[in-house]
Amino acid sequence: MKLLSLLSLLEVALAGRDNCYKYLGVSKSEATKKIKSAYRKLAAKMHPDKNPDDPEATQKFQDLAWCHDVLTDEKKKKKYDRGGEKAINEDNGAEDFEGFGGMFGGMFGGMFGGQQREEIRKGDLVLVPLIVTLEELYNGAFIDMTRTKRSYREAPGQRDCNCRVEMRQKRMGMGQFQIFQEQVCDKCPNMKLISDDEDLEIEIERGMDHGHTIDYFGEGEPKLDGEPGDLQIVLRLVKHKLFERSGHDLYTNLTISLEDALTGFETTIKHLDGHVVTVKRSDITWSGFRMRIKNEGMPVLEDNTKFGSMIVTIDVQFPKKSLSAEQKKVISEILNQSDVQPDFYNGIKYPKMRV
Amino acid sequence: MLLSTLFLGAVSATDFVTCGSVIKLVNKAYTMRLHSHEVTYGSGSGQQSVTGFRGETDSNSYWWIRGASEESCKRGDSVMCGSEVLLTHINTMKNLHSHQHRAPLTNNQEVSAYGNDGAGDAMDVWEVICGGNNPWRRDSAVKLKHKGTQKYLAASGQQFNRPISGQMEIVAQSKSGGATEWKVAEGAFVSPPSVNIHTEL
Repeated sequence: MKLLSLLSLLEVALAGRDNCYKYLGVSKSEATKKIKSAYRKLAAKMHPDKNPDDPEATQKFQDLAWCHDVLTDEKKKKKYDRGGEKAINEDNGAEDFEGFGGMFGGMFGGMFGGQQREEIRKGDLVLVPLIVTLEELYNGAFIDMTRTKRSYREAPGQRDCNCRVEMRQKRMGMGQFQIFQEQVCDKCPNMKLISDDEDLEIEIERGMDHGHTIDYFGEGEPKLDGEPGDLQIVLRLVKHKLFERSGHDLYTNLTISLEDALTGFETTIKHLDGHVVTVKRSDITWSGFRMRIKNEGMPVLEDNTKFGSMIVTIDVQFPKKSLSAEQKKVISEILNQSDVQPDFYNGIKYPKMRV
Repeated sequence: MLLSTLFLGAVSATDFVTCGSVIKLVNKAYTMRLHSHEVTYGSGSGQQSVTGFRGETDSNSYWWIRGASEESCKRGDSVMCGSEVLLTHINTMKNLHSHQHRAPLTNNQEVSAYGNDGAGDAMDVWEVICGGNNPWRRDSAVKLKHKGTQKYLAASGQQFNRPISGQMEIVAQSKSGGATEWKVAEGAFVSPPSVNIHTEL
């Protein structure tokens, strides 16, 4: 962790709702977009799921979200600048703060801590496939996207909303009633769709895998009389030239000569971050032999200090040219395997080789 | 009074359509968005239908754009005029596709959504037609020419009845003129790789 980030986390620990600017690390004149960006970065670090050992993590996180909510709302910001936290609470009393509202750059794989919400109508989910390389999953990466989306804004005038059919009774005289249906609507402010550009900064964390999802709350499609839907990034891993990933392990294949197979070998392979891994063996190596090199696999997402293994499967390249009678004699002498007689047994697959 | 909040002060990585982006395509002539859904054609190939959709807030109008081969356009590279692309419907992961079948309503070639998890066949490839050796600008319209049959993606003007009332027939036609112009609208655009300026906290 850089010294800078250590300091800012300390500052954050001291700030709170009464010092939102310091909490978010922004100045009073900062643009809303910068505030949102700063919030997203801090929210990722301070999410309670990421700080299980901190009993105050949830409170801190809620304070952060409260600050974001206030500073990104023109009216609320003005009130806050004048009278601080008190000014906001005064007007709204126990304002029903909608949990972690607003834009929520999530790197939590969709875990939102089981928020209890009412059935709110939500806009469509937008799925965004994102091609990533094995290097990016190993080293981590930042990928920028611009979200151009539509949002509903209030417009002049009114429109009908919450339309429903109600039963009405009409006295017809002489003790008779007529029951009929009537369309009844409320009046709501007029809404129009406007276009908005939003910066999305996607963090690929070390150890993420193909299929991993990253959620962006409220960045999906808008919904009239409802909430905007979410946007979900879905990672798609492309095939790597050397490595095949399986869980936390990396598989690769190595071809060696018959000479190396019998006399031993030493070689190197360049890993996904450029560091060099030595692969060596002094004993005899047969085709299909597997070497497991610990801690040279993929980092574990939940704990980047732990790694899987690299598994190297060896195959032996036999010489193509036939040997002379003289060479055959020498080899027979060296190998001296007259005690091993040809032996038949049942099966299609060679037992020591796996397809 | 319309104020769109554009991000000022940053490098504008949003001028061009880039590979890996998810986009909505609006037909210039009819203002309909290219759209698909889990409804199959009742004629022709019987494959998943592709239509022109009037609504502006439906996620079924989003398409993932990639180069026709992985190497031809890396994530974040601008899509160039004259290049070959795949358009994958994000909700069903089927590719925009055409072939020698008759369209359902008019005497044109059928356009469908085909494949599995983003993999289809050679008839999924479309050429981006715009001027010169230039990148596809987001503020300008292009034509999409089907590589396999050399026909243009177009809105035919004819509309369907139930169950997809009001949606328009999308076809591949021989004429390059007519309702063959498409413009990018909403989406999530991958920034070019050089625009990664990050300050870690």
